Amino acid sequence: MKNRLIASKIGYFIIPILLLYALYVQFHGDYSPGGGFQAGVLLASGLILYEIIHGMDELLKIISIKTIQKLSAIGVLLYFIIGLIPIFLNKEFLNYYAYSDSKLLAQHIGIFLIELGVGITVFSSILLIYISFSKFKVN
Amino acid sequence: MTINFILCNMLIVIAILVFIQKSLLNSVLMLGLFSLIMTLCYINFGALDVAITEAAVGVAISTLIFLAVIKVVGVNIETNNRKLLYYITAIISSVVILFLIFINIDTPLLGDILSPIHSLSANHYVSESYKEIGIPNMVTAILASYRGFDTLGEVFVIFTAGISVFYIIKMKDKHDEK
Repeated sequence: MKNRLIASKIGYFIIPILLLYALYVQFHGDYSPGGGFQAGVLLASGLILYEIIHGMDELLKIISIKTIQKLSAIGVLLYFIIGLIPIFLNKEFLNYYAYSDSKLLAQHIGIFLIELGVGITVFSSILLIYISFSKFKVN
Repeated sequence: MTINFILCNMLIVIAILVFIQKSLLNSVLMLGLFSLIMTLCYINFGALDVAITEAAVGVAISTLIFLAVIKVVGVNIETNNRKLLYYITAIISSVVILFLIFINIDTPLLGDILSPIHSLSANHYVSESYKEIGIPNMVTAILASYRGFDTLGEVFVIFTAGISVFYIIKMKDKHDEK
């Protein structure tokens, strides 16, 4: 990549902070503003910045399109299975009280896992949309 | 109240600036600026979750996706042979704007304590969610626990959007190669 001195210098500084902040928002969403959706978007924007600096080939070396597609399905499936398990334990769909005897702990487990599913799906879907648009060619 | 007044007027000015630009690149940058001011509005209302989302999606991601599209279609706007289409678009948009203004007369004022959204389930969430769910962030408690089924639908929508964009563009690429 030629003539991208400013972008690459800023990127070296800001990409690690973006990725770390995304993980903070994901796993700390119960206590501070944020949650799965915000974390997924931040993680995707960090990787998109990496793509702008180093090019599409370098990004696809880190994470291939097949992997991104699988991740987006895994997130939805994680959410759906978390909702489905209580049905086999004689509770309703998405009733977190099935996961633990302590009510607050059960809610914590359910919310944590569901936010993880949301984060994975949002991250991979946004990355997939960006990759599709930037690989698109007219004629 | 004054800061709201300033921010809303800036939003109107930027919205006008978006469509009088001659180059698509300037319009996209103005849209990013619009989202930045929206972020300040949300922070002013205390909605930090929405502010993070607007800053990440509105300012960063959507601007970048527009830039990726501009890289393909070019910067200049072509204005030949499309006069009729422009008139139809203008008429439809004016009707929609009139409807929105008409609806806006009936909406409750900002912070009106007697409005339906503040008197039905919101009170229960504010007073009981920490005892029932045990986490301080009320927005996460509502999204992931009280309204878990709605969030499942949203995640399916995002998944469907990502996969469909990918396969529509891939299909067009294959079609062009033949």
